[in-house]
Parts: sequence; C-alpha cells; structure tokens
Amino acid sequence: MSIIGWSWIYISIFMVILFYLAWKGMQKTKTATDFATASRSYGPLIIGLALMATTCSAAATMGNPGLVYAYGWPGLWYGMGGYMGVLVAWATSAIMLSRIGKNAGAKSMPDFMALRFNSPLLRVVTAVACISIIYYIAGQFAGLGWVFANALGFPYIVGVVVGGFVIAAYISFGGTHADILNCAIQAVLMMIVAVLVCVPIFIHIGGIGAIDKILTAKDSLMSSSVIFRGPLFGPFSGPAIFVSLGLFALTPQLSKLWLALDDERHVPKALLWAFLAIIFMTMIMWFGGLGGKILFPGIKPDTATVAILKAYWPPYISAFGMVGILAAVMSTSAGLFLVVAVALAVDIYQDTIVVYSKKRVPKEIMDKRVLLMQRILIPLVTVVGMLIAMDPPKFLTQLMWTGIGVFVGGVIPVMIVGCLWKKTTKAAAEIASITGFVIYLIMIFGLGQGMGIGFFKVPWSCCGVSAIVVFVLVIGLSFVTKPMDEEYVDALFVKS
Amino acid sequence: MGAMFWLFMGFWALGWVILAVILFKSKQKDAGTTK
Repeated sequence: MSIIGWSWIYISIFMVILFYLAWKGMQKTKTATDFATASRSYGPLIIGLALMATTCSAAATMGNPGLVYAYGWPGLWYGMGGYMGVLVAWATSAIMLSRIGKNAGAKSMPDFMALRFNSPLLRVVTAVACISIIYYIAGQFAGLGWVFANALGFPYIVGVVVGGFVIAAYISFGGTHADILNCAIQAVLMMIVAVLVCVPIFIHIGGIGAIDKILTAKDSLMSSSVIFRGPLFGPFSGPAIFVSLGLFALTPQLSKLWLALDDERHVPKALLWAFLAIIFMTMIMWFGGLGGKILFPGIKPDTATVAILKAYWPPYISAFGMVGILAAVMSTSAGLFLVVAVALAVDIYQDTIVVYSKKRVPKEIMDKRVLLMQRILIPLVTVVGMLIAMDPPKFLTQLMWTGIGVFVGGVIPVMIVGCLWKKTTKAAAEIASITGFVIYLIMIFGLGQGMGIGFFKVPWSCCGVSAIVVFVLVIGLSFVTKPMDEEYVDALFVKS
Repeated sequence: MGAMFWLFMGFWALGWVILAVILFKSKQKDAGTTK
C-alpha cells in the first residue's frame, strides 16, 4: 500500500481518538471557566506533555529544522532557546503564575494581568495582544497545508481548510479539557516522529561529528565554528531569539496550562517531563536540519523532515511520521484557538463591555452566553487564520513570530516582573506594556515590512528590542510611581 | 567540533543542572513539610 493509503488509515484512527477525547472534554466542561482554563484538573505528567506539545508546533517539526537546513549551526540559537530559554522562564515564573493565578481566581491571562495589577486597562491590552496570535494560527495552517499535501496528496489549500475545521470542531466541543488530553497524546506521537527523523541520519551519515565534517567540506558557512549568521541569526538576532523564546514560554496558550496543574508542588515534576519531551524536538532540529541538508540539498528548507521520513522508511512507518507532524500542528493550534476565543468572549465581552455598559445579566445566563460565544468564535477565528495562510509563507517560523511578537515584546516582560517582584506598580505595568506593544508594531510593520530595513524584518529582533525597553520601563517606573495597596498584593502572593 | 557545538552542549548541561536543583529543593521542602 502507498504512503497515501497508510496515511488515510492512521489519520482516520487519529481522528477517532481526537474526537473521543473531545467528547470526554465536553463532559467535563460545565462552565465557561472550565472551557477556558480547566482549572487545577491535571497532574504533572499530563501537563508536562501538554506543555511540550503546545510549545512545539509546525515550527518544531518542519519550520525550525528548515531554519537549520538553510542557516546551518547558527540556526540552533532557536534550538537552544527552545529548551534553555523556555526552561529558565518556566523555572522562574511557573510557581508564581500558578500561585497568583489560583489566589486571584484568574480565568485567562488577560484576567491574570488585570487582577495582578488591579487594572482593567491591562485586561484590554493583553486581550488585544492575544488576538494578534491569529498570525501564529495562520502559521500552523500553513503547516497543515503542507502535511496534508505530502501525506494525503491533497492540494495545499484543501489541507489548510480541512485541517483547520477539524481542529475548530474538536476544540469547540471540548474546550481546554479536550486540548490538554489531546496534547498529551500528540506529545507522544511527536517524540516518535523525532526518533523516526533522527535514526536514518545516524544510519546513513553517522553522528554529529560526521555531519559537521561533511557540511564543512561542502560549505564553510555550514561549519559548527560559525556562531552567527545574519539576518535571522546575527550577533543581535541570534541571542534575541534565545531570550524571546524564553519569553514565548509564558505566552497565554502555555501560561494557562500552569493554571490547569492540580498542585503548585507538582511544578518541578511537570518541568522535568516537559524538558525531557522538548529535548526530543531539539534533536529533530539538530539532526533533521543538518542531516537533511546533506541528504537532500536543494529542496525547500521547511520540507527537509518530511523528505527524510518519506525516503528512508517504508510507507507504513513514514505515514505514521506524517500523522506525528500533523499532531504537532494540531496540538498548538488548539491552544491558540482557545486563547483568541477566550480573549474575545470572556475578557473583552464579559469582563469589559458588559461591565462598562452596566447591564445586569444573571450570572447563569451570562455564563451560558459566554460559553456559546467561545464555541462560535472558534470557527470564525479559523476562517481569518485560513485567509492569512492562503499564500504559503517562505519561512513558517517567521510568519508565526509576527503574531507572537506583540505578546512577547509587550506583555510577557511585565508579567515576569509582576510575578517575581511585589513592588511592581500598576502605572509602571500599564505604561510599559502599551509602549512595548506600540514600538513592536512600529518596528515590524513600519520599519521592517514598510521601509524594508533588514534588522527590523526579523520578528525576534523586534521582540528583543521591545522586551528590553519594557523591562527597563516597568522596573524603572515602579520606583517613581504610586505603589499598589500592600494588603491587596500580599493576598495574591500568599502561599496556601 | 566548533564553538557552536560546545555552546549548544553547555546550555543543555546547564538545563539539567537547573532541573536537578529545582527537584532537589522541592524534595527538601516536601520533607520539611512532612516533619
């Protein structure tokens, strides 16, 4: 049987499991908060795997190896940020995120920011940043299009549409419960893909020393002695992606998973599981990217891993690998849909528009209305993401970062300082966040895409600059602006 | 192997050290709570 035939079989089985878990999730979803966060519902193994599956997306399986394929070793700045930056961010902030989130009763990350700083304005700013994540969703759809085209022989655009609506359907039914349960399964599949990509490289080329020797002989720029290579991994943009990935680890689709962990004391175990799982994905980047360059020179960089799977495994195994890549795309997209739907329905509609219009709606009716809104918004978000993904992007990872950057550059630095330092003030948080948000947009769309200045065309360089500005502003202004009510802040930080 | 290889491996090792410290500290805390 051909790879397409096997892919149909595996994808059908995968869909049955997907919708079974969505049905389980639907049974557990009673309120709008269950749908949005699944508060304190899962242990460290499930959360650790879900963290990995949500962190690693189409980028981890296709886009990031593609960057290493195109840029050589300097592309591994992305890989290093992927495990080290992410680990440091979680290790420093996860316990406090979990604790403050629980003490404040936060329903989402915009809600978290609003409650931490007692600022309705920050709720709106964070919710708007969440909506920009639609670009990240579009990046996932591009990945879906490629997987469907390669695995099932569909045209790219059909893959984008079919895959997009499948994810929208299971998330609309099962919400965060479906997302987390599916992510745990998808993480295991992704680790199997990592093994399937790396083993042929070991067999046909050898270890990392052999890879380095062959690449260096072909092109000195591909040698392991090259640390920086612009524009994507230059002396600023290389370290910038490392730091930006650390900040990325606290983006809402990932931060909210800490709110779903059953006990704050389980944070270290969840970290261990997530780190172990992420290492598998770093291996794909390392071996898939560099090994792919040797075995398949001259192909489209983002398709290197798919080429390895197709060429070196019999159809029934390579088709399984395709399903693993599909799982990577789906797990991340699901979390992203939820972030955008929750930001619009809960944070902007329920907690801002309804509160300011002073309409009195009974709590039960409002809860049902918001739950329904979230479910309806998901297919709408899908359509917008599809429209952005209609033209396949040159580099998948860059398209995704255009959306992530608003959050990483504007909101996350404030969130980190707010978690670690009680004396962060409301005014400092508001000014720093809005400034970061605005300067990121000016840099990426004005100076980069508008004026064509090379440095600002790299989304993570823009993230790096705005994150530095925001860190300086939020810390500096906290010394000169009105402190927050001590009793209020102490109640948030108290260990229960 | 060149500098980028050692940088990559160095960060990796550092990751394990950080994790070991976090796990050790949490075990100590748990033991303290049980006492």
